[in-house]
Amino acid sequence: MKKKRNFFRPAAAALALTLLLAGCGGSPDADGSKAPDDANNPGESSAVSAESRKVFRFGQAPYGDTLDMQISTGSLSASIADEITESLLRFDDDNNEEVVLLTDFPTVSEDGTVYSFELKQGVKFTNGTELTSKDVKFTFERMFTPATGAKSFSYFSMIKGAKEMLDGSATELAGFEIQDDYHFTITLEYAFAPFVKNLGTSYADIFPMDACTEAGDLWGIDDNLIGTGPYKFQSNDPNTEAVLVKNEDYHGGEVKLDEIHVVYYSDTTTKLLAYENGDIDACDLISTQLGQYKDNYGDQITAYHPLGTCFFSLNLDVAPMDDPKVRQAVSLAINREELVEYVLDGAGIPATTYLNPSIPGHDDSLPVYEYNVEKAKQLLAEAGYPDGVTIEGGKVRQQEETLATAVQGYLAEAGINFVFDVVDAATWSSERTSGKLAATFITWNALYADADFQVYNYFYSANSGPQSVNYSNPEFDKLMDDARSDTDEAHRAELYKQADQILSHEDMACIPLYYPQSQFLAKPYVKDMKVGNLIYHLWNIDIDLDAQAAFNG
Amino acid sequence: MKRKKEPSPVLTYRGYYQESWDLLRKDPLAMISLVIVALFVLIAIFAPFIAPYDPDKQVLSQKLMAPCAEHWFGCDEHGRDILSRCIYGCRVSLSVGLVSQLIATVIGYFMGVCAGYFGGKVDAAISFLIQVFSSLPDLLLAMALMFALGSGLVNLYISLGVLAWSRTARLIRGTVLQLKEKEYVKSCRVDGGGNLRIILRHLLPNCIPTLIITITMGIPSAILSEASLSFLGLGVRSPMASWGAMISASRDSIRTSWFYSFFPGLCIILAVIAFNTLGDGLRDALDPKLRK
Repeated sequence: MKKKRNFFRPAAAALALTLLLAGCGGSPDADGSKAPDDANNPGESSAVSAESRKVFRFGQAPYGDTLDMQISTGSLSASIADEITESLLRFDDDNNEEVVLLTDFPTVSEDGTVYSFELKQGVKFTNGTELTSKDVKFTFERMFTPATGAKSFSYFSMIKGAKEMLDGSATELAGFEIQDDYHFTITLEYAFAPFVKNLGTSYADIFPMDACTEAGDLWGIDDNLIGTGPYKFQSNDPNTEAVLVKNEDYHGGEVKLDEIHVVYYSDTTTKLLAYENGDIDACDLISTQLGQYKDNYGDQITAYHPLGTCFFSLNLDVAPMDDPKVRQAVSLAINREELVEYVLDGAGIPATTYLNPSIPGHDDSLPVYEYNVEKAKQLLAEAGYPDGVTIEGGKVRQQEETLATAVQGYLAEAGINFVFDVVDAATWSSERTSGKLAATFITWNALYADADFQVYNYFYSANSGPQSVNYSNPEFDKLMDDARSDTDEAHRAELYKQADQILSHEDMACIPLYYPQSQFLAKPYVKDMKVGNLIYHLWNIDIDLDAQAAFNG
Repeated sequence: MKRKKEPSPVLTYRGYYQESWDLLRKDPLAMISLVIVALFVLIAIFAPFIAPYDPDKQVLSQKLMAPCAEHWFGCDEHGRDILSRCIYGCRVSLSVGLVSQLIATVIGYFMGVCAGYFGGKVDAAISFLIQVFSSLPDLLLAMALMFALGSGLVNLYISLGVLAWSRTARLIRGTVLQLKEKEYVKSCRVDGGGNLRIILRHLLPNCIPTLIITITMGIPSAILSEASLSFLGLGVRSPMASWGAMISASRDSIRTSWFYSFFPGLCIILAVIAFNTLGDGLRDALDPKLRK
């Protein structure tokens, strides 16, 4: 036969492509049958040794380059670094600040610029040296030394002398004075109320002067990290696994676990399959996969609410969003309750205002934003768009595509044609910083429960340009300025409440959608696992060995 | 060869295509494919009349609804009717296939004819270009172009068209190299016919069989490229429906909602097989060398 008929080749190619396309995201097997056939689970084979050792295995995505929290800003780095290095204060998993390396909260001078600290005595780094004031001073000076390449300095640049160090005209931090080994003061350029809270973040982790100097550029790379924390490194391969062991001399009392294994999974599905197989004891569960796991693993899912707000961020310099009536119409067109229920599978709280409910200043009396398509159309007509209007130039990242499409669907009902492109994170962020991005979606998280972080950094007139919002309202700015320097927390909260009212109700400078919920999976024998905000803190976690043995059968 | 014996080229062509059609009709697989292709074309043209729902109408409470009497193919993650979206997606896929191939054909024919007909330095330069374009990985080049142009239907046409011209050009060049030695070309030149007249009146009609085959065979690969690009988020813009984009969106629910990826996948497979088989049949029918 002369004829050659390639009937099956294109068919096979098409089939393969379709399967490939469809199969990329999820492995088709693993229907959630729970029978754990763990040949490699320590619970069964080595019952004797397992009984005496508490090992917690946590799965997370690789953290990237470094565990030096002056250089890294990621929560994935922080979840490991925070077990090893500690800051002077920290936030517990109810988002309350507590002292760690100090005897008490620092005292502040009348004008709010001088803070006095007293270190706990006898705190040792895991290399045996004792923590003294000079380590704290070293830590901050290292942060402001340009050669370090720190990113965390912006949280502390209000310290006197920080600017001089950053521009290279000084090598010592003028605002840091050592009284003796355990006493020091920090002087600020101007009163900055959230300063003590900034000290409680991972970005202010205290490093041992000698060891850190010796490590040089390698500090934070692999297992080059020493601190005062409850755990220390046994090994760390950034591509596979970190093994942390108990710090026997921990200054905060007995440490609960013998070992923590942080296993790195770059693929979410692989990580979840590892959880199903019993290779790890806990991991986070992204909202898009909540639906799949709710049925079979419902009792192993714990939800928590980070201190953030997801909102539709509009550029107020770009028509038609420069008209407050159009922004009101956009808000009215979105059914937030339905959005949360169906798009997020219930993993969120419909927004009532911009400020997150756990942040002081949130107005608890407000209802969820109204959903009223007719009213939206009427407002559009009043704004001069009786036949509808187009919002062009929207750009969203892939993670917000589903949300953006849903909002697009809502807006279409009200006659608003929202046009957007899905772009990569780098394009998105450069366009956003240029101040030209017309519309996007973002979840803005606060590092801790303070409105300054959530509101000032995004909407203060001087800051809202690089966020592509370009909001400017002198009344709002004045409230921000006053609240920043006010050390009376109750009064500050009142100021933020007023500011939020102007921002997200009167001016509608952003369209708050929901307060996100995150969740994690943990086996029933994992005790006291809790997440307050964005970072997984593992220091409170314990393992119930009896329950573990029972679970593994 | 009987073509040479015919006195008038016009008459020859009619006979040639008539004969080809007779051959094609005797090929059952090609005819089935032709019917499927025709069906897809009709669906694409009459999409607004066939689709039971507005493909972009969002009803979130019907999120991932399984196939039922109201929604034969079920609903997607935004509660949109998958059948309607598949029907509208057909428009995207077919138009991308057709338009991009037309673009590729215009560029490819022009380049191929110039290379084959003029030869020499022109040939060397164009052949070099053809080499360059065919050595670039298709999908990577398409992605780069889509990045540069931005997503959207028109940009898809352009980038996939620019991608495919080199294959057409190569084939046309080869065909023209043979054709320009034929007597009727030579006699036209003796008769005082200019280059343009030869290219358009004598070479083009004789290249048409080749062009028909490359277009038919090029459409399925354009459909697949569109699906791949849309899957990667570089294809059509939301909320426009496209088979590839639908499969991409179905990833998150593939373990719970089989129908979401199945139906658009089925559409892609059917369309690609139909076009490929039809292309095979056309090649057999149109190529005189394969005739007994």
